[in-house]
Amino acid sequence: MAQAITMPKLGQTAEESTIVKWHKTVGDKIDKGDILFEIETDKAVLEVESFFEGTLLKTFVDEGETVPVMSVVGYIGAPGETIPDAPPAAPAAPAAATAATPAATAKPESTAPAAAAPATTPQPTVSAATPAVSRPASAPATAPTPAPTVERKAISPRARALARRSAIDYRSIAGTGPGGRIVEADVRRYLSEQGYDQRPITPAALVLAIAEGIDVLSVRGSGDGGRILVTDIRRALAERPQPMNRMRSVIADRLTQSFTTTPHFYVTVDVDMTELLQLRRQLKETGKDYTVTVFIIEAVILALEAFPVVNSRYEDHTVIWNSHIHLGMATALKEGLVVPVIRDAETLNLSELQQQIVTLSTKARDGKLLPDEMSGSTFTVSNMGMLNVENFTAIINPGEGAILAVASTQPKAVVRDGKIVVRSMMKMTVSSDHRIIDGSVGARFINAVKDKLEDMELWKTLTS
Amino acid sequence: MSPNFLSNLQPVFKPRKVSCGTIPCYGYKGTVKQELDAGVVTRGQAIDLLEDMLTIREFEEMIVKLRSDAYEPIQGFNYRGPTHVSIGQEAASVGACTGLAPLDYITSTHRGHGDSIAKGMIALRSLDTDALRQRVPESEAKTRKQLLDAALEDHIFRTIAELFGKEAGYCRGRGGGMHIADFALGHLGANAIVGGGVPIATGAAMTCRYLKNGRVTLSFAGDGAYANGIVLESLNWAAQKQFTNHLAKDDAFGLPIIFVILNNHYGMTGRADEEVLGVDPLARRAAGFADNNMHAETVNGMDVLAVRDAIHRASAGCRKGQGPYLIEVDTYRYYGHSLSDPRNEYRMREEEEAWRTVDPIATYSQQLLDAKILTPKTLKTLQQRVIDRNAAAARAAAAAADPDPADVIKFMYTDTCADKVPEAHAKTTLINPPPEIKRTADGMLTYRDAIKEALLEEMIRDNRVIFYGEDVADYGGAFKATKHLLETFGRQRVFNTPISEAAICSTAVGASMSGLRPVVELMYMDFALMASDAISNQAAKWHYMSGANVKIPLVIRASVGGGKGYGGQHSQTLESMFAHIPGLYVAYPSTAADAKGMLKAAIRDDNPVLFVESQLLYGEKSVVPEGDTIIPLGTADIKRAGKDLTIVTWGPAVADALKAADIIGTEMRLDVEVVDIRCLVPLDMDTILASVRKTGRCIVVSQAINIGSFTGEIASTIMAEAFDDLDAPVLRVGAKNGIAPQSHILEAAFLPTAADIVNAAKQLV
Repeated sequence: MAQAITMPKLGQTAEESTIVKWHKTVGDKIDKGDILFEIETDKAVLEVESFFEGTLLKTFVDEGETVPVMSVVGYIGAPGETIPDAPPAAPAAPAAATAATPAATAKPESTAPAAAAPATTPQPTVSAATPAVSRPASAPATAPTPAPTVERKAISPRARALARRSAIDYRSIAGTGPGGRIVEADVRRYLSEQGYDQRPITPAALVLAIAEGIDVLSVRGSGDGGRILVTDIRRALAERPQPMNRMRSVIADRLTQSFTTTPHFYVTVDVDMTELLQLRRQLKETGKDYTVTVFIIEAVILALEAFPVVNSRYEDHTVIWNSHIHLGMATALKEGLVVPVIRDAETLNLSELQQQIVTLSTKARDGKLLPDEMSGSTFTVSNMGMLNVENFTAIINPGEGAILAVASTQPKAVVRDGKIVVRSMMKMTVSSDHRIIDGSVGARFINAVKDKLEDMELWKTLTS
Repeated sequence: MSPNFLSNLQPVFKPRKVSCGTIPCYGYKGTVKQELDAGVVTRGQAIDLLEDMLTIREFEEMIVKLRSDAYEPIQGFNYRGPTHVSIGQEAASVGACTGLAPLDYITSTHRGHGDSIAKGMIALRSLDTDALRQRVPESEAKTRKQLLDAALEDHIFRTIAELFGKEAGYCRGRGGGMHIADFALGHLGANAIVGGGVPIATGAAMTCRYLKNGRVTLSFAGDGAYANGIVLESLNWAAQKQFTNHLAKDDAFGLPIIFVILNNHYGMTGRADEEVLGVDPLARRAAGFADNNMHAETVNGMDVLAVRDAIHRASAGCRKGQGPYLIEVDTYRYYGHSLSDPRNEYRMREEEEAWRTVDPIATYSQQLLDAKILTPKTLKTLQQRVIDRNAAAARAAAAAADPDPADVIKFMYTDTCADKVPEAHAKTTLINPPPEIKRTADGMLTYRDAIKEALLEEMIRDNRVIFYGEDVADYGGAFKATKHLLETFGRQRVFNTPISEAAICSTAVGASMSGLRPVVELMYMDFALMASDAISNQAAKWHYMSGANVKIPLVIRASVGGGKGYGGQHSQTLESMFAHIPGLYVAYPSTAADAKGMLKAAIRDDNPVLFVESQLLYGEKSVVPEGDTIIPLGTADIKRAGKDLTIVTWGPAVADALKAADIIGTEMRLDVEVVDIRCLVPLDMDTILASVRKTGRCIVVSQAINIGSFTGEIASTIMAEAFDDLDAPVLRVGAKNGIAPQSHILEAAFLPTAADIVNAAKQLV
């Protein structure tokens, strides 16, 4: 009997896919595992293998054509077999009859966290909402839709024990038991298809793989004849994808959002810090100990006052103005990044500012920042001066219009009055949201910061 | 020489008047002086009567005091347990037990402390030095008198220790006061089921009659029990004419049993005299069961000599084959049913005061003083000795070791069996040659003949095996499985019984306690519910409740009628109910070979076995080995080997499973293994698990309805023990969850079939 080739459902949200290339043409002999065609989803181009052997009898979808997932795109069978002229309608609910949770159709590659759910341990959740086998598939429509979870793959205890004993991941096995349950025979067939018995493994490696849940089929053996050794399992363990912690997940989400939705542009200047550093040393000798950071931040505050649009933000074709400067200081921690916020920074004098910076930095390192002290910033300074960098660009914090990236101060040969001299130079780059800040405004703003930093009269006044 | 008997009853309707005779009441007029003078009792025995009554009262008052921590010797000891004290009834216990020979049997009641103490004290006094030393091997006593004192104190100690739930108690703390027993001294147990001890005593009397051992059995039971069905069944049982008439031939001998009604006038709080009974005196009960009224009389139960006299005459009569006897002992319970009963809701204070004026201890003490057998000083000394002895026993009991919690279910079963028959019982006289049991040319027998062959072989091997039930003798059983056993062994060993399923099973418990190995038949398993107390509360429990001091080697054959259109009361498959009762073995063979081998094993086993047969199978044949082939209980049998699917089943469902296995093999290409468990208890889980581990799929099948069926027990054990070996859920197939109908159309729809098993298999792949 001819077997239908279906458009696989490969992505979590993919509703349809496009065949970009057929590797076989009608009449070709097909072996199991042969590449039939390539498809393009919203993320990638993927190759689709045949589950069947026989002859490609018919194709319904041409290259470049897009069809819903689970649609029949062709037939494989014996030459001369009768097959339908038209593809059957794509099933509305492609999930197995027992999976009565329509939202729970994520592809069970559970090691990748579900994007919208930054849980700390997004392992394949055994959803309590998954009904028992005997529950009718037509669950009441009024039932609350559970949060999207990774689909639970039904597998018999015996099959699971075999999979566990064999140290393989059963989630890609097709189940042929009642209700699509994976049964022992399915696992055995899979093992045989994957040539499991031809893949030698040392007993110790197998024990480790079982204990750590490593799929040995995904491990290349480095021993004689490809034997999988303990070191191979250890390597697989080291390479095993790790779900992010909550902070990292939030960072990932926020920065992706910002970087993919905000049109950034960058302007870099080189600031001569020689005199300011000199002044700082002199002040220190008189007992006034200022950090370089406080000078930079004060310079930024003064510049922002002059260019309020840099302190604003874009929202839905609107400029949102801020009457205060809440200055964020990107602070690196071991496990990520936090941005403590100096509130109403424009109201603080230099020593108050310094005091705030010290307090907030300490709290950040100790993990004691209150939520209020980490939100509401209108502009952020990211200072990597202590990390020996020539220059860098930063991604704008969501909710702000620009960010200043401060690089290291380094002795450089520069031309002054026609002579080559050595000066302490520091590069700064402002990343700006082009929707509200034009290039010239960005350039003028960053030059204003630079000018302030190089204006010794200003600093003498502010520190006196 | 045929033991058979063909009745030739003629219709005779000549008018006549029947007198029910007379029942003498309170006829005893003796005093201790007269009894001494007549040489009926010695001075020592006369004092012993008082000592025993004093001991009982001191014991019971200890319980009363313990309830308010007022018993000085063990102050602070927390007694938790029943408080059914017998204060006021001491003369009944002591008088009755002294009327017996020391090692005669008694059964007793929930209010049995007095009976137990009296029985033990009297029996101990009769023991020789060696026997006494065996009772108290640790004692340093030199003289017999010292040994006896030690043994008497030990008796009180073990009695109190049992009440306190101690390992050193008579029943190792498993029984308690309501189930106290000392089989070594002839005490077959107090019984907490009202009336429960009466048929057990009747069964023990059957042993005495059969073994002709000269012993008598006395059954204590209250006025309340004499309204209970099993007690009335027992009276009828004991008075059967076949024990004494021409049917018994040379063995004619009335059942040596004395039914003692301890009429204390209250069944818990129900008033015997004016409320819940309709006869006065209660001794009239006997007139309903025996033409001679069982020599019934009513005696003054507050007079130890009157009770002793009546029981003494009765036991002498029993020993001459004139039993049964029924003696009503009119007595009084000073306290309530238990100490939580304040009595004032149902009787007057004046009534109690009136009875206290005839207090058995006070009146008898006065007689001893009057007769100068005791002086006030020696009386005081005696009283003090009792107080001191009980106190010492109580202190030792309170300090004795508790049972080890790890042993909580120890003693449920014994692992012994009658693998050797004592010489005295290995000799069997056959009245006629045993019937020939014909095999087919290829060695096959019917299931029915396999049962018969097993019984024949075992009855020849061991003359303690007796067989009885309804219609089993001349008629050969309703299903002819025992035809010609009567002719072979005679009516002493094979006899018909009244239609009294409760008595059939309960008497068998008494017979097995006292030395026989009875096999009894229940014509339909449904009737096992009539006998459920006997099977569940008595047979199953006594080995454990006695702390392994008694064994119940008993086989109850019960036949399932399902599949014959007999309707709801003759078709039930009930083995699951009895598998739920710990202490019982439950076997259900599916083939003739299994039936023979397992029945032989059951008869030799020292545990009570409910042996289930199916009427659908009686005609089924299989190759049955000749001779002594035993199939140990608790061994499953793989009736068909396979690798893809296990069917666990038993009884007639095995045939359905085998049929289904063929269909599944052909239609589904699955290789089915059929495991016949053969016994529900003990269950051979190892074989089941090994099979399921191999196949990964399992269906558990029985003819029982699924609700509460043992199939669920097996399925849940498989899930717990072999979860990771399962490729599919364990399914069950049974009858529809309903009542067996008569209509054959409906019954076919009711019972499980091979097709049902095939359908279940389809759900698994």
